Amino acid sequence: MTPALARLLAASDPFAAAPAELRLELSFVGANGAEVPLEIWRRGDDLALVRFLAERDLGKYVVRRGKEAWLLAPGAKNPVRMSPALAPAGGAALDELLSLRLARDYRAVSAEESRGVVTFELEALAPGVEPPRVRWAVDRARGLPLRAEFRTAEDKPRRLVEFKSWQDERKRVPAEIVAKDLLRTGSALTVRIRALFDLQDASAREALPPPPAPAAAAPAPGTVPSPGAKDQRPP
Amino acid sequence: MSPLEIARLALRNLARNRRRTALSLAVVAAGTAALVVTAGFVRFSFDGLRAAMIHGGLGHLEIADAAAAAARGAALDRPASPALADWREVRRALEALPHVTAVGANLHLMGLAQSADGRSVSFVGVGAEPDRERRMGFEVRLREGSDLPAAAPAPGADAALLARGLAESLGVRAGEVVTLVATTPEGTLNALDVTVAGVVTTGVAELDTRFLKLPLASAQRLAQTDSVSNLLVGLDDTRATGAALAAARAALAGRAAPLAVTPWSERAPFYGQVRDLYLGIFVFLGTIVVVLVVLAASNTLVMSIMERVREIGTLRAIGTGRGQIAALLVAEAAWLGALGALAGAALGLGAVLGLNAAGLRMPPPPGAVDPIDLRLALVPEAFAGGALLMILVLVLAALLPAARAARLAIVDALGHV
Amino acid sequence: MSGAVREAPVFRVEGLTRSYRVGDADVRALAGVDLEIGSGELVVVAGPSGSGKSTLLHLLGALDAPDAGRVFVEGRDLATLGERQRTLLRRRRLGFVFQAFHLVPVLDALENVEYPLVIDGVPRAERRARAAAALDSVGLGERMSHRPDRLSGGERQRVAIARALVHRPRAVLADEPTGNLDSGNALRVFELLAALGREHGATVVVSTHDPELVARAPRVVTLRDGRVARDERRPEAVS
Ligand SMILES: Nc1ncnc2c1ncn2[C@@H]1O[C@H](COP(=O)(O)OP(=O)(O)O)[C@@H](O)[C@H]1O
Ligand SMILES: [Mg+2]
Repeated sequence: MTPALARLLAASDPFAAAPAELRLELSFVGANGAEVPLEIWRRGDDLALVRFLAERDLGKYVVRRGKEAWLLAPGAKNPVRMSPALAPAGGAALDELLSLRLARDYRAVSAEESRGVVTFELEALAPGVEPPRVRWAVDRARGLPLRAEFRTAEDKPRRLVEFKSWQDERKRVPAEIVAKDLLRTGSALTVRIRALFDLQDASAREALPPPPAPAAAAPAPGTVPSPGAKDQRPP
Repeated sequence: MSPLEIARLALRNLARNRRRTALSLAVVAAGTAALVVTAGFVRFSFDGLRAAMIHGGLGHLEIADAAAAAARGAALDRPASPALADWREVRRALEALPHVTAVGANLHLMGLAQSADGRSVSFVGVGAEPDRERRMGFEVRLREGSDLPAAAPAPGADAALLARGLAESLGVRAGEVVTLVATTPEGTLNALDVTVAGVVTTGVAELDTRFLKLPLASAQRLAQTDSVSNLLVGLDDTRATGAALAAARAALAGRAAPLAVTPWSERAPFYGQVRDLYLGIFVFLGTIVVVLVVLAASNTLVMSIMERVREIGTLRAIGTGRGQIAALLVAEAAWLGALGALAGAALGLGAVLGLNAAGLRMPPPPGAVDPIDLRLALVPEAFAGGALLMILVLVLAALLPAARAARLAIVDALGHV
Repeated sequence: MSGAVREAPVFRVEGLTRSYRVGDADVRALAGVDLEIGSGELVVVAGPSGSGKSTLLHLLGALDAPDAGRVFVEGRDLATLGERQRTLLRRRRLGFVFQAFHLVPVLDALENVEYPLVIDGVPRAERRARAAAALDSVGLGERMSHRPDRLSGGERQRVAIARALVHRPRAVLADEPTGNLDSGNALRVFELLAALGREHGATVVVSTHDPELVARAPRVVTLRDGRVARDERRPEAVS
């Protein structure tokens, strides 16, 4: 691979310039066509909180810490540990994208160019990096990714993410992605990112809406229950 | 010779070798009784199966969004999406129809059930209305605990009935709490704590490993919807299904989002298969009975003719026509059939009543859970049909030997010893 | 008998031949018999065993068909009759008596006698009366409801005679009717046959090899090896 291609790959990493602590406002189109608005709060790659914003979803959260995730619902006293089978499709796709560090965690096995699109075959450098393989298609002229195919260690396609539009091309922040689950349902999910806030940036902090009234129902991103403490209510 | 005289003479001839006649009668009677009892068993099985299907969750009619029903296709146990939003109005229209005892709404769910100690098992669930299901005659086969309360539970007081296998896999008993996780129609997840009100069986071993039932309100809370998947219509008389189907279709015609009205029989292809299977067995058994009776009867008929060759020669010599000889012999067979069938009907009646009085239990059929109380049906058609069949069979069996006897050369027959 | 000259004879046979195949050989039971028997005649067919008596009676009674020759009954050639017409002929015009009686064992004496009327469709009341009268005439009025197995040989044969006459046939063919009876009964049965035949004006053909009966016959046709060896008329003989 030429150094030019290596530079292209490194530069195409989405959310590359994302801050360590951030909040995303987004929505996806539900299976029944309804808009599902939500927020994703992240600290580093290990800690994330998904807060559902629709009225019917009030009080519902998904908390991820490392590879483990819990669902918090108003009808259930305790957080419910979510097996991979329960991973929420849209959130997972986005979360996966946010965690993706192409330049750091992957090496390119091959690169092919056709009609201005370079397709990289990427392989995780270390075991345990998710996903183990990625097929990454980049628009050479604009330096922006077009498509990502997340693949299993056995090189089976698992999820397809298409970047439809960008809200910040420079920072590689997409505006709309379409995620397709290739393993299970095969259905496509459209995710629209409305805004990305840097939580370490005081100006962003000020732009936050006031917290919902029963603030206790919404744990702050830093106070995720530890995996061993399921029986307790999240503080 | 008038038919009456032929019949009289034939009856006399039967009395000639009483032991042989008794034996033939016994064969015919046993055959008839076997048919009657088998028919009773088959009818009992059909009726039981039908009642189990209708009152075990199918209802007589199902109303579902036509598009959702079409998407569901042949996979009947796949949950229909909760596509019926205006189900309350639809129900009001349906409950006004004749023969309708109640219309219950169902919300189908799939998801994971988790116990407090972290065990998790996937489930298929249905949100239902216990008060209406009771009115529809649906049965809840409780093994433990109690049935769901009739009233919709308040938030936080949700309860569920878990099928045996599911409760066992989760390691929970009545009174304990499990958390249900399911996907909402939008595709997000939701979770709900439910108290196990009772442990039930669906009657189907396979389904018992994953079935649960909860009040419609709880199911809707879990699925975050006000809609339902379908409505089930209960009738006061299964025979009114066709009429009610037409009435429901007429009442629901002309909606913007068309509804599919499906009778129970179409939602239970299994019923048709079992029916065909039983009918096949019945026909097979009937064939065996007929063959046995034909073999036994034609043997005795031939024997009784062989014994009487000289007499037949005499009758021919003094002016009995060939047709008269044949008619006489066929009449003897018809008598055997009629008397044997009569005895067989009595025997079959006795057997059915006796078996029913004995209170026998059948082991559970394959895939089912509970043993079945044997209650053979009395099928009038089987009595009449069995008797006619026996007469017909004997007459047919007699035709050839009778024709042969009628064609004997008189002089040879007279000299026959 | 002179008054019956113009009338066709009851039986007329011409060149009657009948053979049976036994193994490889042909046994000639009848080898060219010509015979005429008039109305009301009592004829004894005599001859040793195997001479063809039974064969002749079978042919006369339309029970069998000859290989050659013709049989006329009341002037009608049997060869021209179909199965059904032969049956009707036997039913209405002929009566049979057999050596072994051949009664129907499940029917009592009256019913046996009634039988020919039953198959001919005679109404029940009439046929009962006629059968009872016939039984009376053979002296068995007291035995009407007895089944054959409760009657003696002589009684059985008298029932058979009543049966052969009850429908007032034109002729009675009796093949060795006394063969199974002791000599006393034999004589009684023969005389009964003769008397009733005369009474009914029926032609009676009786085969026998009993010399006592032969001696009483007004006409004796003697067969030997399938041929008529002698045809003797003895108007003085009174049976
Ligand atoms: N059915 C038959 N088969 C073979 N031979 C027969 C048969 N009937 C009669 N015969 C033979 O024909 C001959 C004449 O018999 P039949 O008319 O019975 O004589 P009869 O009555 O004078 O004793 C005898 O030789 C007899 O053996
Ligand atoms: Mg003889």
